[in-house]
Amino acid sequence: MAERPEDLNLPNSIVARIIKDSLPEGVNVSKEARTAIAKAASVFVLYCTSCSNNLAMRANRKIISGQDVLGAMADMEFERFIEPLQASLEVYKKVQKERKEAVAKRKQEKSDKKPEDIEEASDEGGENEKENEDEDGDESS
Amino acid sequence: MSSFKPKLGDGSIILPQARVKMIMKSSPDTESISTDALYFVTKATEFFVEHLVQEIYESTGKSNELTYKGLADIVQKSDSMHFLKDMVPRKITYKEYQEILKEKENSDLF
Repeated sequence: MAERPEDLNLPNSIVARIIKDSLPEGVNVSKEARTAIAKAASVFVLYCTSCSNNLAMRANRKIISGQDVLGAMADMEFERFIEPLQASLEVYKKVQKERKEAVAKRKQEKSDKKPEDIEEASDEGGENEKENEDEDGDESS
Repeated sequence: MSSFKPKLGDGSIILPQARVKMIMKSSPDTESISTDALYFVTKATEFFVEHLVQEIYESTGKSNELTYKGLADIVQKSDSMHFLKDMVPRKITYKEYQEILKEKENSDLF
C-alpha cells in the first residue's frame, strides 16, 4: 500500500533523465515543464491500468496479462508502442536468461571442483554467491 | 501519425517497477498484475515520456527551450494526449480569466 501521497508519483529525477535522453544536447527544459511531464507520466500509468483492467474484466480474468496491456495501448491510440514493447520484452528476457545462465555456469564450474558442494550450490539464488565464495576461501586455507 | 523509434538497447527499464506497481494497485479495480504486464506498463511509460518530449520538441520548431506552453499546446492538439487535458491546461491571462468569470455569471442568471 502507498504510505505517503508522493508514493503515487513517479520519481522526478528518473523522469528528468528520460527527458534529457530523448532530446538533443543543449535543449533546456523548464522546471515547470519537467514537473508537469513527470505528473503526466504518472497519469499515463493510471490510464494504462484502467484500460488494461477493462480488458481483463471483460475476459473474466483477475490478473492483468501482458496481452491486456498491449490491447490497452491500441485503445489509447498508442499503437505505435506495441511493436517496440514486444521487441523490448524479448531482448529483456533474453538478456536476463543469459545472465542467469552465466551465473549457473559459474556455480557449476565451482561445484565441479568440489563435488561435496553440488547440492548446496545448485539451487541457490544469486544473493548467496558471495557467501559461497567466502566459504570456499575458508576451506582451501 | 509520426513514427516512433525508441532506442532498444538491452530492454532494461530505468523507472522503478515497484513504484509503477504501487500506482497501478492504487486503482480500485486492480487485483493482480502479471510480470509481463508490469514490464509493459513500465516500459510504455518510458516510451510515453520519450514520445511526448519529442512531439513537443518537433512542434516548437526544434526550439532550444522546452516550456510548459509547448507541452500544453501538444496536449490540447493531439488526440492521443486527450487524457491529459484537465491535468495540463493552457495558461490564460488574468484578463481572460475575468472574462470567463463574467460570462459564467451572466449564464448563471438564467
